[in-house]
Amino acid sequence: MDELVQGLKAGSSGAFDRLAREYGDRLFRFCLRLVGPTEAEDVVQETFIRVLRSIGSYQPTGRFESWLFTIANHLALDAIRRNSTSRPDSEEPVDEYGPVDEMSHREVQVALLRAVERLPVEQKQVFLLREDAGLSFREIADLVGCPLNTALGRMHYAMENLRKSLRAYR
Amino acid sequence: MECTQFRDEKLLDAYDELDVEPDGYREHVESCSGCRNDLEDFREISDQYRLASTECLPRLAPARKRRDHWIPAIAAALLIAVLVGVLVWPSRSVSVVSQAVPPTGLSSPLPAWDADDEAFDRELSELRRRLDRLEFEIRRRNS
Repeated sequence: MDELVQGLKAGSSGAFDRLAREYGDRLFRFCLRLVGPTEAEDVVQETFIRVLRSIGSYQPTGRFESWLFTIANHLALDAIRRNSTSRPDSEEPVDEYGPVDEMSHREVQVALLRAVERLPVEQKQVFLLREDAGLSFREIADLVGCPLNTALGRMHYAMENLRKSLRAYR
Repeated sequence: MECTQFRDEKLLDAYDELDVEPDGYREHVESCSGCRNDLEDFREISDQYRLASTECLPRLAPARKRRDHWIPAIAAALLIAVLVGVLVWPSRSVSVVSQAVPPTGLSSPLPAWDADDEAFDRELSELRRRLDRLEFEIRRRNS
């Protein structure tokens, strides 16, 4: 990881490629579930731009992932706030996953993803930071700026909501 | 939640983050079917989500207005600035080399060519190249 950070600080395009390769998917999935498909790409792009701009002053006090997802998380929350005030009424919801015709493994997966997307933002944020970003609950609490037991409480509510959503499939 | 005891510990345990088990935790979980169900469900939801998250990426979003028009806008602004500079101050190209003789009619010497402009142009080009590459990567993985 130090090598990646040093490469980024030196402006190496190889380091940037590695950053995109190693974190692009995880960042995209995190943003996708948090802000939706129309915003996710923009948030990922902006995250990488912010990383490049700020890497010079980056001081590795924790894991690099934690710093990276802190940036993505802030940008995603900005996008959510922006959308909540500017989304046009005429915008039709898109069924991103396509039709699901039969009771199947995929049906459960799609139901779970939809349930995650319907979670309240604070619960969804903690859930995705744990699942997609791979941060520990302590890192999440630091990132979100709340005590550990608050982060765990949000995760609990998230789990309970997801459990209820999946009950029909059990 | 089927059992409200050790609520936080169960979550930490399900994600292998329970560094220190509180007194009585393991004995309680082993003897309480509610706690066992909680742990099992947390792990199952986590596993299912990880699978679903990687297997079920959504179809590409419908066409939308992109927000990164600022890049060509900045490039166009820079181009216009350079053109205006050349047209208004034809002697600037000379002063770039000499950096000494102001054109007639100007009360103060022209500023020396700002090396930062070139650095900015280079930085902008590099940033655009990286953005293109990143966009390509995202589309490739998303398709």
